[in-house]
Formats: sequence, C-alpha cells, structure tokens
Amino acid sequence: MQGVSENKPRFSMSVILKSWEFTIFSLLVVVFIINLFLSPDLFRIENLFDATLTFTEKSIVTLPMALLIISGVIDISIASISAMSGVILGVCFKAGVAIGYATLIGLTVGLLAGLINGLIITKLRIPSIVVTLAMMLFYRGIGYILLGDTAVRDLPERFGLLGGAYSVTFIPIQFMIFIVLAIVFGLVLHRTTFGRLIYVVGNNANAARYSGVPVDRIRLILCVVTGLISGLSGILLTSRIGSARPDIAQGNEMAVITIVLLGGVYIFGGRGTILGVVIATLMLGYVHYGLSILNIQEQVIRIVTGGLLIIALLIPTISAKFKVREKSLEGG
Amino acid sequence: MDNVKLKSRLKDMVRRREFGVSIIVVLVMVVVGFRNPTFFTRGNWKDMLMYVSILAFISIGQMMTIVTGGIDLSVGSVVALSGMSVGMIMREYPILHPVILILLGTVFGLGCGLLNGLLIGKGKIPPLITTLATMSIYRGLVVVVSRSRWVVYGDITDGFKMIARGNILGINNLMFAALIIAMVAYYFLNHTRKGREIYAFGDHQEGAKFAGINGVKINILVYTISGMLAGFGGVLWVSRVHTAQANTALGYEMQTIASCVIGGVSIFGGVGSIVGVLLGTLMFGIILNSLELIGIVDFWKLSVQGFIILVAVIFDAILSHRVMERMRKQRRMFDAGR
Amino acid sequence: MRKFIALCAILLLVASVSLVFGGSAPKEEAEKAKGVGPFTLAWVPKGLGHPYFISCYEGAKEAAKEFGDKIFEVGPDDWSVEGQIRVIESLIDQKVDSIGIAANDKDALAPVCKKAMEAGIPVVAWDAAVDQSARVTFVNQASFEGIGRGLAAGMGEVIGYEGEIAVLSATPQAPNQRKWLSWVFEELKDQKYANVKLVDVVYGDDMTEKSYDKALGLIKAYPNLKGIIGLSAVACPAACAAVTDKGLSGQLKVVGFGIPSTMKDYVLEGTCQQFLLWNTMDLGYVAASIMHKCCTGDFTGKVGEKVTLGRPTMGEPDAEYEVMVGEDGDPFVLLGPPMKFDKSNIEKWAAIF
Repeated sequence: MQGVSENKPRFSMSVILKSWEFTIFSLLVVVFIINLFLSPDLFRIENLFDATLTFTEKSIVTLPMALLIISGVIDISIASISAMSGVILGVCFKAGVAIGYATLIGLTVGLLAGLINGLIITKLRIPSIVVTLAMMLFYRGIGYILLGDTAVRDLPERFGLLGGAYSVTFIPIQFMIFIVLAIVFGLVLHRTTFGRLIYVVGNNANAARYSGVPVDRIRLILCVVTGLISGLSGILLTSRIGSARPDIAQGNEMAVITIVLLGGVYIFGGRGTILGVVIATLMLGYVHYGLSILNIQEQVIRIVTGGLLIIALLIPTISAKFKVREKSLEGG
Repeated sequence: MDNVKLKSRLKDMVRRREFGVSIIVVLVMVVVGFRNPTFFTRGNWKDMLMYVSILAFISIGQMMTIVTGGIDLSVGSVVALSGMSVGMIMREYPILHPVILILLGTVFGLGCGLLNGLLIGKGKIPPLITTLATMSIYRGLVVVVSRSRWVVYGDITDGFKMIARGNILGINNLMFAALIIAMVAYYFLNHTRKGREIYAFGDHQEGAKFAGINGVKINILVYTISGMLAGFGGVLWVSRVHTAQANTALGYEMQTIASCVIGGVSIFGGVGSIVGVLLGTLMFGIILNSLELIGIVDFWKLSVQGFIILVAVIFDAILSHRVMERMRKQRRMFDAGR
Repeated sequence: MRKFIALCAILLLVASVSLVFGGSAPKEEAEKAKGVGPFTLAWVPKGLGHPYFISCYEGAKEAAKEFGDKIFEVGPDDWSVEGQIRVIESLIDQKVDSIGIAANDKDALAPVCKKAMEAGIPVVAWDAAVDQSARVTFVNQASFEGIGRGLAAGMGEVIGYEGEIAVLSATPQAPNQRKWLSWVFEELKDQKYANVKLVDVVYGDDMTEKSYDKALGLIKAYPNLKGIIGLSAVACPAACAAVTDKGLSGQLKVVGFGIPSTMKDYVLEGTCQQFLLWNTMDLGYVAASIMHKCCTGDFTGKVGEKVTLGRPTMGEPDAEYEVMVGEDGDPFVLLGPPMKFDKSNIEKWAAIF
C-alpha cells in the first residue's frame, strides 16, 4: 500500500501548476510547428520577430494584469485606457505640444486612470469587475468625445519609430520593451517581499488585512501600474499606426485576460507565474498570426480566443472531477 | 435576524429608489421638452418607445442574471447572431411566416443562453469571464454564419417588416411584447417558488444551498432565460431597423446593464424589481433620446453610459455599506449592553 | 492526464477553426519569375458585407478569371483603419503578387502600403485612394468634381432651389468622401443656391444602422429639412429608409448614391428622386486588370500612360484607359462619367445589378 499513498502528491495544486507551464510551452512548440507547416517563410528570423509586432502592444499589459489578478482584482478597462491615452497624446500634439511632452502626458493619463480605478475599488469597496466595466465605457467615451470621428494624423516620424522600428537588427523596439518589462515584473513578483505579499493578498484578503498587510495599498499600486502600462500600450499602438484615433485597441481586454488565464494565473487570485504569462503571450500571439496568414478574419479569430479562455477555465473544474474520481479509486 | 432586517431595509430603499428615478425621469422630460419641443411629438415617442421596448425585455433577462450575483455580457452578440440567422433564413425562404421566424430566433437565443448557463452552473466559470468569452464567440459566429454578407433592406419581406411595425390591440407589437413579458416575469419572480429561489440564491449563495436550493439549476435557468429573451429581441431588432450586419447591437449589453442599474438592481445580487427595470429602461431611453435632440452627438453615449453605471453602483455600494455599518453598530451596542 | 486533455482540446479547437473556417490558402512555395503568371491578387475593400463592395468584387473576379490569376477578398469586418492595416501586413507576409485596396483612410494606410510596395507588391487603389506615394495608381470611379457638383445640382433641382438640406456622409476620413463633400460645398456657393442652406453634415461610418440612426437624428433635429444627400451607397438607402419610416416620403427629398437593385423600391415610391452611380462591376474589373498588368510589368502608373483592357466597359467603350492628373496633382485612372438613375431607367438596371 506504499505505492498508493505515493500517488497523493501528484494531484496537489502546486504540481499541476508546474506542469501547466510545461503544457503551455509544449503547446507553443506545437503552434510553431503548425505555423511552419502552413507558412514556411516563417522560418526566417526576421518574420518571427515581425510577427511579434502584432501582439506586443497587448502583451505588455498582461504583465501588470497578471499581478493584479493574482492580488484578487481585475481591470477590464485597460483597452479603453490605451485608447484614451493615445487620443490625448494626439490632441495635445495637435494643440502644439511637443511630441515628447505629449507622450509623457499620455502616460500620465494612463496612470491617473489606473489611480481612479484603484481608489474607487479600494476606498469604496466596490467589486473591481463592475467598476472597471463602467470605466471601460467611460474612458473610451472620453476618447470619442475628444476626437469624435476624426483622427490626428501627421504625427512626427520620430514618434513612429517607437512603435515600428527595430533596435538590434531585426528585433523590434517594442519587443525589447516587452522583454525588459517581463524581467522587471518577474523579479518583482518572484523575488521581492512585495511580490510575495501579492500572493498573500490574493489568497485571502481578509486574513492578510488582519495580519497587518496593507491590502488596499498594494492593490492601489497595482491598479496604478496597470493603468500606466495600458497607457504605454496605447501610445505604442498609436505610434505604429501613425495616427491618433479613438477606435484602437478594441477587444484588447479580452485578449489580455485570456493570455493571463492561459498563462496559469488563477482567476480568483493567489496563484500564477510571469513565466507562464510570457509563454502564453507567445503562444496566443503566434496562434493569432498563423490564423491571419490563412486570411481568417479578426472576428473569427476572436472565436478561438474566446474558446481558449473557456477551455482554460474549465480545466480546474475538470481536473477537480478527476481528483475526486482518483481519490475514490484509491479505495478511500 | 440581521440579514432579514438588512434585506428589508434595502427593499425599502429600492422602493424609494423607484420613486426617485420616476421624479428624475419627469424632470429630464421637462427640461428636454423645453429645449426641443420635438421631444413631445407622437412620432418621437413612438420611435423611442419602440427602441425602449426591446431594451426593456432584454434588460429583464439581464436583471435575472444580475440578481443571482452574475452578469450576462453576451446579450448583444446573441441579438446579432439570432437576428442575422433569422434574417438569412428569411432571405432564403421568404414564404416562411414571421411567427416561425420569431420562434426560430428565440430558439437560437435559448441555445446560446443554455451554453452560458451550463458553463457557469456546471463548469463553475465566473459569469463575467464566461459571458465575456461567449460574447466574442457568438459575435464571431455572426461573421462566420453570414459569410460577411449583410442582410439589407431589399431582403426584408413585408411580413417581416410588420413584426416591428404592426399593432396588436392598438399598441405597437414591440410594446405589447414588452408588456406581456414584463407581466409574466413579474408573476414568475414574485409569485412562484422558482422565482423566489432566484432571489434567495442571489442574496446568499452559501445559505441558499443549505436551504436546498440547487444553485446549478438556478444558474442554468437564468442564463437560458436571458439568452432566450435576447434571441427574441434579435428578430424584433432586425425587423425594426431592417438590416443585419456583423456590428448589429455592438455594445448593447452595456445598455441593458445601465438600465438595470438605474432601476435599482443591485450589482451585489439579491435585489431588484421588474418595475425598477422598466423605469430604468425608460429613463435610459429618454436620456439617449435627449442627447440626440439636444444635438449632442452620440460620441457622448459611451461616457454617459459608463458614468451612469458608475454613479448607480457607487450609490448602491455606499448605501449598503452604510446599512451594514449601522447594523454592525447596533449589534455591538446590543452585545455590549449585555 | 490533465495535460493531455488540455493539449488535445486546444489543438482540436485551433485545428478545427483553421480547417472549417479557413480563408484562402497562402501562396505556395516557388518564387514566380517576375512577369509570368498566374498571379495571386489580394482584393481589400473598405469592409465586408455590403452589396456595393460585393458587386465590385464580382467585376474583379471576372478580370482575374480572364487572366487566369487567383484572387481572394480580405477586409476588416468592422470597417476599421486598424483592421485594414493588419490585413495588409498579413498580405505582405503572405507575399501576394498585388494588392487592390479601397482605403479607409488616405494617410493612415499609406505607411503600410508603402511597405508593401517596397516589398515588391504593387498596390493599386480603387474607390478610395491611399496617398499617391503609397500606390502605383488609383482607379477613380468618377471625377470628384463631377460627382460633388452633380449631387448638389440634383438636390437643388428637386427641392426647387430653396430650403434646408443636410448631408449624410460615410466616414469623415475616407478620401473620396472628403473630396466629394468639398465639391458639394463648392457647387452650393453658386448664386442659384442662395436660398438653399446646408445645415449639417453627419457621419454614418458606412454602417447601415448607424446611418439610419443619424438620418433619423437629422429629421428630428431639423424639422424644416427639405432634403438629404446620402453620400455613399450605404448612406443613401439608409436615409431613404428613415424618410419612409417617418412617413415623409416625397416631402423630404433624398439624392445620393446607390445600387439599382437596392434603390429600386425607393425610387419607384418617390422617396428618392435620383441617384448616381457608376458600374461597380466595371470598377472592379478595371482595377483588377490593372493589378494584373502591374504584375506583368506592363503598367507603371506614369502620367499619360495608356492601358487597354480585355473588354469594353460602360465608361470606356473602346476599353482604353489613360492615366490622368487630377486637380491636386494626384495621377489616377478614370473609370468614366457617373450615371444618373431615376424613375426612367431604374427598372432596367435593377435587373442587372
């Protein structure tokens, strides 16, 4: 009966998580192989990195979002913050502000939006889901109020370099930004006390509060950072398109949440790793890329994204069922 | 004991809320009518009420999901999917009687809602995430099903047009439908066991389980109803605007949520009334209508919606926090007194 | 066990979506020697779904068939700029032989089209142009002046040169919209329109429902409105629908663009007095033919260059087209004069397209 009890550890959550990163990674490999098969030109390193351009703007937001969800909070207004930041950048520029300052203003706007979200969530104790749902409409609405149907074109060439140019030969600047941010966030989450506290808050906020952990402050900081990075994302998008408009980044919030959840972050908080999120970003990004090479439309690709999200969330339920079944098989 | 008092206090507030909303509605009407008298014309009211009617019964579906502590973000996509499917069927087989088309649309919506319900009830996925995902899936299906081809005015049969334009007993079909559905829903929620169970479940999920209420069944039920009403609404929608495209009813779910929230449905669950939803919908429709008439372009629509939801939610939260605090203080005094 | 399920589920999902819903397959391996077909032509309308663009694509398919080329249509289903840019980027990666685009925005699409040109993919614009530096040529369906003036004149005529009018346009950035609009304004400056007042210009984004709502808005906001100019094949029928629904058919006049089959009922009912169009299928045919000739190296887009097509079109009975220069120095190929449709000829043409 020795062997039977040795089976138990295999079904604990932490082991599943470790194997989750592995699962995602093997999926990434599979996606790669399929893409290579469907479109052999992908073999070239330039195209591989070029493809990242289509999803990097979204991906940088997955990093703070992961931390946010681990702490038990969600923000679905990120795409609207991106759009708003881009619009305000354009409006400032049109009003004569130098592009550098306009960029800073855009970033600040994102930061402030995150701050507002955080304050409402923590001070008024309203579920983040609902607050950010309302803010999602509100922020995007501001973009439309400011620019309406128009767009601010003629943004300076220099600005366009931010989003579209390459740094080291064929690696886009945007991708470098993503890697740097991933390292930073990874270090913060996994190597600092702050990071560890995030997990604690996510696991049991009330208990954490009683233990003296500044739950609200931590969540507020994360909201602010999320807002800031969303703003950055919007600015990068604006730079790549070359004009500021209110209708960018549509649907990004869904994609970001999908990536974060696929990356192994638990929706109710308390679990997840940056590594998983990065792998999930790449995987989803290349799935998207591969599908668009087949000329499948955007909205159809969203079916896949939605489907993946649901599957990702069904896994805990299904595995729990298996856990129960295995347990009963052991003759317990 | 505490809980009962809390809920009855909140229910009082709901009634007071309905009253408050009605006052605001009247005020807004006066102000807008002053600014642009077109507001009071029969034509304008008919248009607005037709729009509001569809919004009303879909909001009733939404309300049921919110009362159970969930939310249904997929209604807009279900409207589009059902509308487009029925539109295409009508284009292919113009001889089909409109009633059959309405039934088909409702069934499509029912299917979509059932999927939601199963994922939430059995799959244990949080409603927000589920409906966020199905919102995209159903919307994508609209594109796939239609092969990107719109249903245009020329495709609409006269019989189909009459769905939106016809009258029963003197009132417009859409309004009639809204009223009937509202009455049925009222009876269901307030005078049947299942209806009361929905409220109980929304109040306190854990407690409800102990009372023998099957949460899984409740979830499946409310999301199926929501989908069904959205499917029904989809057919009426296409009849009203005589077109169906990939973008039909984009963002519509937000309007239903705003209507519910204005009407006193608490986002925390357990609280909400049909009358409130109807009033909330009417108010929302009037706000939209006024924005048009005052000449404020619909760029403001999004922010206004967001703002309304935010204000209503903050209001609700502050209220319930205050009531909770008072209860806690009373309890403490009671304990201390012992 | 869990891993396996997850793996299978996701694989199945991706595989089934690609197989069942897959668009056209990407180009096969071997590099084609420059100038020798069959070529792969990518047709990019402003968006998918509307009969106007569907009929343009019909014409383009005809041309492709004639030359033995492969053609497929891709476009943003939300008719957005961002979506269209993504489509072009994907096409560049797919290494198609030529791109034909109806741009959602003249400047925003320019950088990505330039990238395509630099990658050796000739870009031919049709219906709505990209900036001239980003394309080989632009197939213009009718001169902007002809259309703008024609619409304004038509409107003036049917309302008796007196009263308030409004314009329901598509998207504000679309280059053709801007040009047509400016010529409408120009025409209205003339003395004979002294009693005609243009009260508003609203944008329906070429979405039927939005255009319909905007038209209703116009009717409500301006109770004395005499006429609406529907500046696109989506806007005009939407305005007609709004007018009909309000029971103002015949009182509130509508002129604009439309496809005969869509507009037939409105014209016969008297809601729309007249509308303009060109042969959309010819537009597609000419554009796709030019795309092919770009691939073979027979066409370079220089001013004064002439090209002969496979069959005569409504605009050019001798099937010969020349690259002309427009009023702002933009070279383009003109399809031909616009055609006016009204009660007298609507039945005949509605049967054709």
